[in-house]
Amino acid sequence: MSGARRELARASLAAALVLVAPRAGLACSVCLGSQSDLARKAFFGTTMLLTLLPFVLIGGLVWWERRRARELEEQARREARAERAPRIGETASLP
Amino acid sequence: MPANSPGYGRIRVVSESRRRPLVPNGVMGMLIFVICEAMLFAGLISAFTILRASAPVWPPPGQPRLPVASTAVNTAMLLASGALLVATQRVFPRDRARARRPLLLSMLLGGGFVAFQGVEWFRLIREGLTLTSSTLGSFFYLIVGMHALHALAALALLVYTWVRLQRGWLAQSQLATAAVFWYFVVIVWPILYAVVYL
Repeated sequence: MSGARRELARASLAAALVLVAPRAGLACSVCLGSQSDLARKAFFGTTMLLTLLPFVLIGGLVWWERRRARELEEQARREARAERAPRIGETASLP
Repeated sequence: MPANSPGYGRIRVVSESRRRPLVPNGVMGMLIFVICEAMLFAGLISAFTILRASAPVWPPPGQPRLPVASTAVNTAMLLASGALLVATQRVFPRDRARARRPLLLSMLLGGGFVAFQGVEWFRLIREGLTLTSSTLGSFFYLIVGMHALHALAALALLVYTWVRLQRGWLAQSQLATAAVFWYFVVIVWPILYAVVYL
């Protein structure tokens, strides 16, 4: 086995060990080392809230803008159709 | 050469599409501001939730209880104020004069909400809940105070809107801008009530 392959195998083994032993690899003793289950849930919930909220807010704004754009487009199309339609008493000019 | 001159033959000049802004600038600016403020409140709520969950005893002993029932009534008042502003926005494009009454009522209810919160604060301070008495006091005055500050600013904007409406200078986009801010104040409060009071 060449040197590079040996290094790769070692790194893979280390990664596998870290994956199967997450308890030993806790990075945040405040969030995950907490004894209380309620506190752990609170950390998880608020992390999710703060992570997802910007996406929800900005995504909501983009969605609303797109809907509004579609509405305005539809309105413009209706107005254009109404302008093109000949009025009563008017004769349509032929090309 | 004009477009309809014979030289154009079969080429038809299509009239330039009428460009309209999707959202008025004021409304867009206010929406961006509201998104930023929503993150501020989310941060405060997160900090309070973690503190509360980590505390061995909650609420801290020796501290007065928060007025849950009377604040629920106050919450209903604020929600009614928001509903009246929705009514104002619906009536405004058709009949500006008729929009005055719901806007005035909305402002009065909003003012009532802020005044009632002030009275409750005085009572709680007298009972011993202060900024330094406990973590509950610190967070209570920080979160509810921040909301009150927003409510006051939004109320000032509504008063400005009302004055413009009275003088006949109010545009629909200006009403919408003020409404976005007030809706934010109205929508955030029940969440704060549920997190802090319940």
